[in-house]
Amino acid sequence: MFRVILANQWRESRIAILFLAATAVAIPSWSLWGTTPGPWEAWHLLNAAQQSSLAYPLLALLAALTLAAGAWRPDHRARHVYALTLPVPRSRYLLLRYAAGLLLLACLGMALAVGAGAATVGRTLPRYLEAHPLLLAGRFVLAGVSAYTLLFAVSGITARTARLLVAGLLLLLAVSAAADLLGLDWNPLARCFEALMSPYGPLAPFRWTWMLIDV
Amino acid sequence: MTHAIDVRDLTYRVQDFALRNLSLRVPSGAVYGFLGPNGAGKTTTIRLLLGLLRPEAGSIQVLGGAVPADIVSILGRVGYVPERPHLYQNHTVEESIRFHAAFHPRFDHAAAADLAARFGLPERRLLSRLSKGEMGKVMILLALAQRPELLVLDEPTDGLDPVVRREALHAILDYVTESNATVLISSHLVHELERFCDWVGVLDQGTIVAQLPMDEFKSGLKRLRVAAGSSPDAAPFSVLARGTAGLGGEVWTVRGWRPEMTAWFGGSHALREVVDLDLEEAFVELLRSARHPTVREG
Repeated sequence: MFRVILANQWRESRIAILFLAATAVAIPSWSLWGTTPGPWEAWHLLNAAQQSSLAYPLLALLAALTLAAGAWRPDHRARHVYALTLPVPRSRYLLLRYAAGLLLLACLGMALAVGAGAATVGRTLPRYLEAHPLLLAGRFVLAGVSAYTLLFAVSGITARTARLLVAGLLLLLAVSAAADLLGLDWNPLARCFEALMSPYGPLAPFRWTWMLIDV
Repeated sequence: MTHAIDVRDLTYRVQDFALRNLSLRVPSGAVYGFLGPNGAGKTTTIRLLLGLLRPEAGSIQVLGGAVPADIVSILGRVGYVPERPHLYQNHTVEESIRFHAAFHPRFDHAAAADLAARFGLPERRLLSRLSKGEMGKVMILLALAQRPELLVLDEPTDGLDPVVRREALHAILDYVTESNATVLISSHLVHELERFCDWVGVLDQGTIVAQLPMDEFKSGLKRLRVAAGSSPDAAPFSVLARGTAGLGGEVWTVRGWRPEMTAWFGGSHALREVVDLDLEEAFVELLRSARHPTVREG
């Protein structure tokens, strides 16, 4: 069962996945491009790693979004009738879809590990600097899993629940705007965002440092 | 008699439509024609049978299991062809077969290959590029190849050309003959069901109007040409409709007719002619009498 679900998700999103994999392989080499040995090499390398550090979480977010949307798109198009008439418990079907997305995300993590490894292996780094290709790929996978889990849950909801969710968000936005107008130091939308991004929140991996080369 | 489908006092409401105290019994091994005009509630009933909707009240038993409690094991024994295509459009025919087989342990690959060849299906073509007829054939192929004990077909040939319709119905009949499976086939194309259903249920406005063996349904419904002045009072049959005919006579559409009932007219030549109704005429008269129940039961 897992194999056919995986094949279905691969077929649905394969162009986007291949593009993301190519980007994951290319970004590390591209970010270190032009940093040549010399007295300022360490500064150049850190600067280059710093500048590209935003690209990795962005890539993780894009990968999560692509995989979460691809996981449910075939079922949304078929109005879920086919999935609901398959002789398998709904919870198991959901897990199969989720796990297929996770596996594809892990493949993208491997692509990043390969790209980061290729960009740094064999390169003699200045003293006190170290390359972290596996750490970077691990962070990518962790951040991707967090975002994928949230987006998978959101994209799998029914139209009615989606309307309720949007209504809830609009209400939060309205309350936040009203609080701002009244000069109150209370913004529920910002609180929600902080909770998601806090060190213990589900999106915490996005706040980590994403340096391919660091001290 | 055991029943493959046994629905009792089913009630379901959505917006301005409701199924009310619906009871439906499909005998095991029967080919049951589920008739009704558009919007009668046939698709809703089928969705309730397959656990796609939750009833407000009543009980549903399919193949001896309760819906929705035993729905997973039931679905493994039921082949379903819905009214509108429900398969993944990004699959090729071949991939659809592979996908379906992965979820159905009794899936017969040889039967699937046979049916694909018989239907002339292009196995490498995406479902999104198939014609309506080809898509219908793929759905029937998958439903048959999983070797179900019960086939639930919701308007399976609606919109198909006569050649494709015939091929599809023949394939279904072949399977039923070979496996003795039960079939519930819903349609508003009455003449299509006439040839091969042995039971018929008529649904109108969310209520079962009639449920009986096909031959009984067909044989008991007649159009009688009677002389003017004849009265159906105390008749041993039900008069569904009365109208005037030429030469001062009347036309009665009756139900529950038997040949020996000619004696009721007393040899007075009041009964001029007994005309058989085909299923479509019988269906129309039945619906008319159900919607305007002004006729008198005999």
